[in-house]
Amino acid sequence: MAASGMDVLQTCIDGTANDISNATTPGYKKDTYLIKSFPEMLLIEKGGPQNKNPLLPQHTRKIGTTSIGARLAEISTDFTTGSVQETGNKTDIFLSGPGFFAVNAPAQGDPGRVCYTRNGAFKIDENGYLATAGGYRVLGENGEILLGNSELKFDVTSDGSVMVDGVRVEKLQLAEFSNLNSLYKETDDLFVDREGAAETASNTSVKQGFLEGSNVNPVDEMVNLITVTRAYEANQRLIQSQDEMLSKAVNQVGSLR
Amino acid sequence: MLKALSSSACGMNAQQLKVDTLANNLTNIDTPGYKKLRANFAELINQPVEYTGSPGNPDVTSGNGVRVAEVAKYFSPGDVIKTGRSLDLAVKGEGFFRVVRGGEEYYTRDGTFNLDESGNLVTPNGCVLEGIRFNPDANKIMISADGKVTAEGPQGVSESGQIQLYKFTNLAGLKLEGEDLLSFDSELGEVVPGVAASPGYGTIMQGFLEAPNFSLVEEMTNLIEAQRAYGFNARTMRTADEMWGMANNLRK
Repeated sequence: MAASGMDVLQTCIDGTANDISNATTPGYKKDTYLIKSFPEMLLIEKGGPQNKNPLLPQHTRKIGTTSIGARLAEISTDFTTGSVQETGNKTDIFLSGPGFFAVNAPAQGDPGRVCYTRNGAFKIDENGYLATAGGYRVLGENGEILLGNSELKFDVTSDGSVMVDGVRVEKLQLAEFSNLNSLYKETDDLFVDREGAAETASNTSVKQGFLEGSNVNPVDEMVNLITVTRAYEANQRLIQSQDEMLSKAVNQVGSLR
Repeated sequence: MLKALSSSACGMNAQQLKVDTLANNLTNIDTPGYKKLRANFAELINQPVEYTGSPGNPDVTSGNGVRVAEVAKYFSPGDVIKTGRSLDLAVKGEGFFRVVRGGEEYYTRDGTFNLDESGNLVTPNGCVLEGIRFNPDANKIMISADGKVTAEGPQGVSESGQIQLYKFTNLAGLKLEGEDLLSFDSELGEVVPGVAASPGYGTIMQGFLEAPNFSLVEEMTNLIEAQRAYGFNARTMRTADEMWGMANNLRK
């Protein structure tokens, strides 16, 4: 039981480590770990001294219920907005509101797969397309956004229109989700919409030259580290005392002097 | 446990690279025409939690740390600073100078030029600006906003050449070569030469230099952030290590 607790806490610390290592990743959304106990079990005593009733099958007696440990039930993503910082770079784009950028993230068997991200630290890739830092092309309403050498003179207005030299060339494809639980985290800050729940954004505005920070809160994570270590320690103590009890049973009870 | 250790190691490595990048920017605070670099991060692989020995939820995935997705260059213009020296040139607007060294062509926005013995305009690292040739007796050099170079000598004013500016169909094709020089990968786009002050090209300013395009305050803030994040990751690593120690001490 205590061992399962240690096991779960280990997974928790893995998650906290991941959150902390992403404390400066733009648009990163931290994970929350939900630990639950296993379903309760019924303990039944077989053939105790005060249980001699032959009518009961196998001389059993119900004692009560117990749980046999903890398990990791769920890792959910916390979608609160991170802090905003001004960078002045034209390729840094911040989404004010609940929306997500749509990017083309080809997968095996699905070359046109669309994923969602809030990491707006974009670049213009080798072929002149607007792309995420990880190299996935950002989608506009009519497909990938070709900017060429326009890094210095492209502007994004608050409704997501992409302007080059004052001429509107494209509009960013932004998506909102009324149920964020349909989003699954993938590599490279991408979220996969497994249930097809993407809706056209209506409450999101766009700001160029700003970047959303990670929503990892140092204080929370530190508290998390302490709680988890202490709980881990307590579980370790439990195992040790159980070991001592067993040792007593084996070495002292029934020993001949 | 190993995962927590490797995630925090990942984080520390990433922050170290960020500090390296920031240090590189900051050391170039006086380099004319320097273009800032920034390390951009993205989350590393997310994979299902392998929950051996106890039933877990197959949909549960967790991350493995952070990765440096790229070190990006930003080409936004820097401030133009007056130096008063007649061979300092700044481009106000778009366009790069093209200089040649040993048959190789390079592009730069660092306009600190000098005159060599044979009358060429050269950069401090020995690259020659093409198309300009001065008479040895020239004593006053004038460069107009559209790049026309004239020199005044004992024989009067004479034309010495024309400075061309270069643009690219794709800025991502520019590669850093060190010494403020950039080279262009012709497979990724085309070089478009043009005359200064013509539409789309910047004007040339004599007696000015372009300052680096980063803000000192922003870089310092980033430096503090990187240092804190590094310490933060180190703390996680220690915690993970302590926990592992406890597991090792289960049996005394």
